[in-house]
Amino acid sequence: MNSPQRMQQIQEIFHATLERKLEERHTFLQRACADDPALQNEVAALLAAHADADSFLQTPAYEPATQHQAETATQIQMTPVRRTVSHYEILSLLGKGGMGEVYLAADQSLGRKAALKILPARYTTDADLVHRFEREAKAASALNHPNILTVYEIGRTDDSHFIATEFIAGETLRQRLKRTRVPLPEALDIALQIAAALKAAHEAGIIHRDIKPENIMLRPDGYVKVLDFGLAKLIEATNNPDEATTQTGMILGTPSYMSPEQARGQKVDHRTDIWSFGVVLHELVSGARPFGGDTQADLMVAILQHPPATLPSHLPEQLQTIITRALLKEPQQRYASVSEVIEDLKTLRRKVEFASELKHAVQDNEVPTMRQTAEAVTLPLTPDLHTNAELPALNTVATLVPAAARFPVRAVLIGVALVSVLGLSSLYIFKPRPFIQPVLLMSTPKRELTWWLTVQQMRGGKLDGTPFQSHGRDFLAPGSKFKFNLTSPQTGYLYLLNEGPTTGGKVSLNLLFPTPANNNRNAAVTAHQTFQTSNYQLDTNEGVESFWIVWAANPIDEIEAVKATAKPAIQDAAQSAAILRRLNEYASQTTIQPDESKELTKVSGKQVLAQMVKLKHR
Amino acid sequence: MPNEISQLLLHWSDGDQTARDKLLPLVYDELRRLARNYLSRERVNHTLQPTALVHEAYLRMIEQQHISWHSRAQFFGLAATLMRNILVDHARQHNAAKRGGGAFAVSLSEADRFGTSPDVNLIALDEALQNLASQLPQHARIVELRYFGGLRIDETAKVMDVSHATVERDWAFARAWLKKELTKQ
Repeated sequence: MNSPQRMQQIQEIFHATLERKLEERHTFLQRACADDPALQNEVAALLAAHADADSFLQTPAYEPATQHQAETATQIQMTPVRRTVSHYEILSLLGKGGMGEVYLAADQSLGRKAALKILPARYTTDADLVHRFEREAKAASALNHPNILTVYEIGRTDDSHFIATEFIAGETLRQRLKRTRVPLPEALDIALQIAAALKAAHEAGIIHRDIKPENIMLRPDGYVKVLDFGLAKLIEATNNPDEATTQTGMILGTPSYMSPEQARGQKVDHRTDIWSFGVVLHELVSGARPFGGDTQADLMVAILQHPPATLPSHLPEQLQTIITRALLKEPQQRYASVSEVIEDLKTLRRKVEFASELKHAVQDNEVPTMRQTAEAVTLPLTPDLHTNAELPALNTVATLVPAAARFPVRAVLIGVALVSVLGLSSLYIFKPRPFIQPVLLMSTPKRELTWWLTVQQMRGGKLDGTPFQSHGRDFLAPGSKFKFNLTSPQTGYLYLLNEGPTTGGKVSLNLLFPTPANNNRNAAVTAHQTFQTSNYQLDTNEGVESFWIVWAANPIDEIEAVKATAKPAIQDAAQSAAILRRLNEYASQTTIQPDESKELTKVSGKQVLAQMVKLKHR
Repeated sequence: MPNEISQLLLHWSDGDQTARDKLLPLVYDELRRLARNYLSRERVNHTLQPTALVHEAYLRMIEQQHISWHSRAQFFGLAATLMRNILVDHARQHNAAKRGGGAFAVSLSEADRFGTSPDVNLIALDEALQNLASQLPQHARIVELRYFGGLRIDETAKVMDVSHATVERDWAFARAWLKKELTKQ
C-alpha cells in the first residue's frame, strides 16, 4: 500500500499526464518521474488502465445502458422548488410538446409513478371545448390495449387541466431513429405494434389524428406504446385559421405526417391515421421521409400532389407496395382499414424472417472458419526493404475447413424457388449445402465493417505498458506493435494491403491478408467473427504507413490474381496503379465513421468497401 | 411507514445519528424487496425496468412534501451503500448457487440483467473498493454513489458537497485504479 503522500503524488502526475497530448505523454511522464522508476511504472499502469477503462463502471450496476429517457426521467430534482398538482408531486420535466409540458410525477395516493401532462391555459379557456376534450380523452382512456398508453386520470385543479398516464421508461421512436438505422425485422415489429394500437382505437371509434415518431414510445423490453389518442383534435379545434402558417407550425411541429385531407382542413376519418402510419413506416424502414420540401408550402404541395419517394432498392418490393397504398391521395383509394395493412405487413414479415433464417442456415456452412495463432512479425516497413518486398515468413498456423464446391447460380435460384413453394419445412434440405449466396435473396444489402487496432508500445525491445485499443487516427509511438481487428455482420471477402513507398510514380503493394500462411490464401471471412491479423511492427523512425482495408461481397479478381504467389506483392507499376484506381473508386463510395469514445472505426457502403488507413508514427 | 421514515430522515438531518441506525434496516429491507421483485420471473415484462431501484424506493418510502433537498441527498447516499451490499450479496449467492448451493436460484439471463456489465465481477470490485477506501476514501465513496447509487456527476457532487470538477477528476482516477486492480487478478 502507498503512503498518503505517495498516493497524492501518483494522482497529480496521473492527471497532469492526461492533460498532455497523446504523443507527448510518454516523454512528459518520464520527465515527471525522472529518478523514480517505480513511480513511473505505477502511473504508466494507471494510464494504461485509464485508456482501457472505456465503459468500465460507466453504467450503474443495475441499470441497462439503453434507457436514455429513463435516465433523464429519474434524475433527482436538484432544485429545491417543488410543485404539486392535485395528488401528484412533480419530480422532473420529461418533455415539452404541442400539448404543453409533460412531467414525471409521483402519485401520492397510490404510490406509483405517472407521466403528467399539463395543458396550457390557452386550450382550457373555452368551457365547451374543454368539455369536448374531456369527453374525447375519456373515450380514449377507456381503450385498453397493450400498445396504447394507459390513461390513469383526467383532472383539473384551479388553474390547470391535466392528464395522468402510465409512465414509460424508454425512448420515443424519434430518438430511436436519430440513434441508428432500424434493422428491417425490428422496423416491421414496431410497425405491427403501432398498427395494432390503431386497429383497437379505430374499432372503438377513436381516431388518433397525429401519428408521428414523437408520439410513439419504445419500451426497452420491446413493447411499443402509442401516446396521445384523441388529443390532436383539441389542438386543431383551438387553432385560429389565420394563424395557420405560424402558430400551427409551432404547435403541431412539422406537418410531415399530415394527410392531404388534414392539410386541406377537410373532415377526416380513420384513414387519416392510415396515411400518417404510411409516412412513419417509410421513415422507419428507410430513415427518410416520403415527402419533403424546403419550406412548409413545398412540403404541403408534395403531400397534396407528388408521389412518395421510392424506397432504397435493397428493401423488399412488397414494402414499397404497402407504403404506396397507404399513401394514396384519395382516402377511398387507400387501405380501407388498418386490419388490411396488418395482414400485408404480417405476410411481409414472414418472408423476411424466412429469408433471414435461410441466410443463417447457409452461413453455418458457407465459409471456412479459421483460427490462427500469430506471433509478432516485423514487416518491411523501412523504405529500402520495400522494394525487395521481402516478407518475413509469418509464423502463423491457420486451421482450415476444406473449401467446398460452389453451387451453380442457376441451381441456387431454382433451389430458392423450390424452398418458397415447399415452405419452411423444406429449409433443412438445403441446410448442408454450401455457398448459397444470401445476396440472391436479399438484393444488394448494405455492407458494414468495424475495425480497430490493438497497439502494444515497445521500448528497447521490451513491452512498454499494456496493449490498448485505437481507432487508428492517433499518432503511434515508433516501434509499436499492432494488429488489426475486423468484424462484420455479413460474410464476405477481406483484403489487407500495405502500400510501399512511391518512387517516381511507382507504388508497390504488399498483400498482408490473405497470404499462403494467413488463412491459406482464402479471403473469405464469416459473419460476426472478429478476425485478428498477425502482429505488425512499425519501424523506429517517424513516418506514415498506409494500409488498404477492403471488404467485398465478392472476390476482387485483380487481388485474387496475385495472392497465390509465395510472397504476395504487387510490384508491377501498371498493375498497382490499376488496383489503386479501383480502390480509390471504392473508397469514394465508402462511408467512414470513427467512434472516438469506443476507439473504433465503422465503415459502410454498398458491394465493396475500401478505406485507406494512414498510421502516423512519431 | 412513509411517515416514520420521513421523520427519521429529518432527525438524521438534524444530526441525530441514532435515527440513521434506525433508518438503515428499513431502507435496506425495502431495497432488497424491490431488487428481488425486479429479479423475479413474473416481472420480466413489467412496465418498469430495473432502472431506478433507489429512486423507486425513495418514491415509495418518503412522504415527500416534508423533505428538504439535504435529506434527499442523505437518503441517496445511504441507499447507494445499501445497494452495494445487496448487489454484492446477490452476486455471492449467485456464485454459491452456481457451485451447487442453490439458495437463491436465478437464471443466467436474470443475472445478466442485474449486473449489466458482464465484465464487472461485483465481488472482486467490492474487495478492490475496500482497498481503495483505505487509501482514498473520497474516491471510493464517489464510485459507490455513481456505480451502486446510479447518481450522475452533478448529483454526486451535491451529495458529497464537493465541486463538479473534483468528482470528475476523482472518478476518472478511481476508475483507472479499480480497472488496474481488477485486471491484475
